[in-house]
Amino acid sequence: MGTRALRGLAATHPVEVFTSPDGTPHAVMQDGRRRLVVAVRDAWRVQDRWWTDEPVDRSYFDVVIEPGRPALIFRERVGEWFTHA
Amino acid sequence: MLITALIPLFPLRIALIEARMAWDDPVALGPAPGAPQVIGPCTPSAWAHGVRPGLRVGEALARCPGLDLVVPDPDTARAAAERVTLRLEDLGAAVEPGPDGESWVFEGDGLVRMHGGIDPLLRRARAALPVGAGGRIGVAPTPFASREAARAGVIIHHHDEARDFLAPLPASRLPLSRRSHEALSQLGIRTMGEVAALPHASVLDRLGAEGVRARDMARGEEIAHITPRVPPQAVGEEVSFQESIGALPALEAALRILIARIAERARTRGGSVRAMVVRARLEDGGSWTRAVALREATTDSRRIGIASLPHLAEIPAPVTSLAVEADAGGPPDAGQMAMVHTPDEERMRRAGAALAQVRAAPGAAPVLRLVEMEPWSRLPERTWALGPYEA
Repeated sequence: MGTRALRGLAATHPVEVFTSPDGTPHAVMQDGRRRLVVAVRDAWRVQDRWWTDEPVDRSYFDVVIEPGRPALIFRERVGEWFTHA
Repeated sequence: MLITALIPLFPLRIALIEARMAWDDPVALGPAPGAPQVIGPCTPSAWAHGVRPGLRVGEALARCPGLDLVVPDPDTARAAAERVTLRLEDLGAAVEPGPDGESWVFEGDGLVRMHGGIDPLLRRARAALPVGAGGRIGVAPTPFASREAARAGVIIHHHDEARDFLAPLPASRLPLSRRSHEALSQLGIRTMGEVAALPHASVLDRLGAEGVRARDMARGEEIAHITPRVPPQAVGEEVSFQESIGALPALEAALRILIARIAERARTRGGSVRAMVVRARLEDGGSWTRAVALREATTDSRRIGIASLPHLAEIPAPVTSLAVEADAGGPPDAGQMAMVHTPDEERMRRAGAALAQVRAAPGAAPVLRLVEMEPWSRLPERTWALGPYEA
């Protein structure tokens, strides 16, 4: 129904992330450029909706990428990385 | 001459069609989500195994281990019944739909000449019923006899014939209270013919006015008129969700949007909303329906919301889509009764005017409202949503 229906905010989009050997994000592709992660401010895991056919198991990282932009990225259990638009 | 169209167990048949199950299998309507664990109507095969409506689920499965339960879908059954009503109205009939959703009765005298005889009329009435649903047509001079005639699929022309037709039928079919049925049973009265033969004074003495009415029905002399419905001027709106929603704030936001659209369409047609039905399709495949009658017809979406929004708390499961169907046949300009607006109303009126100006601006982006979906969710995409701003 276009703009006349409810439209969820913070939809998820795939993003390319380069990780360190320990699995933490090292760099993020943004606007066609590889941007280094300068700080990981927080990390947490979310396991939710396990009672449905589409359970959620995510590892969230609240990071700062150069030149100082905050970004919230997460890795699905299968290994793919996403961000919230 | 009253014509009755009857489709026995229509809600069950519709649920079977939706579930792609066969009428010959032992199947029963299961309990609705959140309702007591008892079963509803069942197929003849289940009945043969001892399954009866009102049995607890465990007891029914013990009696018939192969019993399948289908989720009741009152919404689809109501829509199917409405289609039948509309088809019969297309014949020119003023139809009174039965409260059970499986019968329709209309006066046939005025239609016989229009359709070139009773046979063409009945043929077209039969054609108005869904194919394969086991629909039957009956004709009789009184409503009760007409319904019983529909069960048997017979045509009765006169009151005397009606009495003869009803005489062998069981008295338990008469619409009496349980106490009156017990009284008849204790008196050894088993058939309608025996009820019809009772003296008027005795029936009045033992069973009261209810008994006299039942006696008249059994004699085919019932004085009753049908009350055909006024065909509604239906307007409907529906919104579907990408993921099922259980949060009340989100459902309220969605219903507000639908109400605003309904009110606008009613206003555009020059009418107002008199009554409405809120329907929700549930995540587990069932449905939820609630009829809302307004105290007076209106196009004020705020007042319609006050009457309908509290019902959303009764929805028993997460919702995949929400719909509103309203009868916009109310008088025009209803609801414009206040001469002086309260400060709140004045503020809303000005906000509405400002909003209209913003929307009228060329190339303006739509004005949206932030809606809380599931504020407790740990998943950001399920927490907030944008919906249209309806002033």
